[in-house]
Amino acid sequence: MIQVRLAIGALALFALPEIASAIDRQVALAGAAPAAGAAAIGAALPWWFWPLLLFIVCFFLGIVAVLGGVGGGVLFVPIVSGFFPFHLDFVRGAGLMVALAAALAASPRLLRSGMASLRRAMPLALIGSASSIVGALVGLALPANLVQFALGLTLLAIVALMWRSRRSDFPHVESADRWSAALRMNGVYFDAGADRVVEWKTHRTKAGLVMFIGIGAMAGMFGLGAGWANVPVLNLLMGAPLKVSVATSMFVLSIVDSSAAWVYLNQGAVLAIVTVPSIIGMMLGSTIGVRLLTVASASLLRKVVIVLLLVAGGRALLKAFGI
Amino acid sequence: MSDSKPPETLVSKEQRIYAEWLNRGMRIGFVLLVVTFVLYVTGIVKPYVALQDLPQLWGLPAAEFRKAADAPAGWGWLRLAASGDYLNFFGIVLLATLTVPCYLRLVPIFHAARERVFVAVAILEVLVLLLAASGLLVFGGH
Repeated sequence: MIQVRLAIGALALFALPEIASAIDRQVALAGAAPAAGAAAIGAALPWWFWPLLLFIVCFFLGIVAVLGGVGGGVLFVPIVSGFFPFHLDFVRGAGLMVALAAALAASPRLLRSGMASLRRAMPLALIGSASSIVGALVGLALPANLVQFALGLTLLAIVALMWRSRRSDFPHVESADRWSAALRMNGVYFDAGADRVVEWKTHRTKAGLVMFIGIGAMAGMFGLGAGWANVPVLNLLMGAPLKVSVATSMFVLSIVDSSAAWVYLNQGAVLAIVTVPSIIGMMLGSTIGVRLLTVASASLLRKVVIVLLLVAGGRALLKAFGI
Repeated sequence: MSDSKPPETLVSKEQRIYAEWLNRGMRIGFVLLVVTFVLYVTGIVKPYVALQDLPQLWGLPAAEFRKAADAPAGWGWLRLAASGDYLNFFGIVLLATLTVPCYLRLVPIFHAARERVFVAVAILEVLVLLLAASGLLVFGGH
């Protein structure tokens, strides 16, 4: 498969230069104090080690994210900030770019299929993108340990949400509310699984719009992407069919994450050496993940994602307290 | 997500146009990202911050990194665009900007259809994105 060849090519690209000096440095590291901490270990290893590892980890995160039904950003930030030597600022900047790239790649197909609704997404994206700027600015101004603490708590809340949430394929909406009608938050799509055309409309629009203020702020603050929050709001609160909710959420992310990403870019919190291997790894992994969708056990992978988030959330809390 | 093609009439004209623009931009951005990164890490294009120095710097907060590496903030990267590391920003910036031309393309379509609410939403979104991209928004730094 071309993706596998590309992955091997990228590995070779990283691994070829400086292989000899790497061995020397590894030997030197073995003699160093073991309690030097992640930053010191990061500094002692050759420059290519961590980006290479990042590429490999993101490749697998891309597979798990697709199979587990979550966006890559929600796994990327906690895992990379917990176990890599990069500062949280750069991890969040890269996290937003990873979530953005994945959303941009998926959106054309979702829009063409009619699953994602442009009209429905536009008002939500406007609110989300404005609040994500505020979230990003606040997140970059706060001390890193405070953000780690809030991130840890948020991850544990996401775990609880994923564990408990029920999803409804076709929620019953009696009638569209005034706001929904004014913003034309309704539509029709062809559901190939059910082999029928599905008409849908939404309600509780005002509450949904308010929720998107908070979702956007959290996306910007933690660089998480926010599919984990978008989908329940669109599906369970506003009453859109599940497929429309997932697709529209992905499309909304392509807009919301753009504005937050700009804040990180302008503050110098985007490093090419962290961001680019993450994007490439995640996108190659996602492509493999999509191909594995038919053979993998979705429920098992969902549990794997929950465990990963639980570990990452715990790690973020420990880092917040300097442990 | 289904591969089946929906009836053409179920997907609006503006949605199809938006998808087409997004698709083209995304492909260009991704190729740009891969090519510039290869030029960067292979040393074909010399970076501004030496690759060997990065492990001492990437653990610092963004503000301290900028000071230590004498790296630019905001659009200052354009001055260093000929160096390997900042060359990558063309792809990154293209991805972060892609929504703006797509939304601008929607404005005349909604205007022709007399959809004033959506014309306003599209213009406001472009303004929000341009404000974010302008670098005018700064809120301290730790």
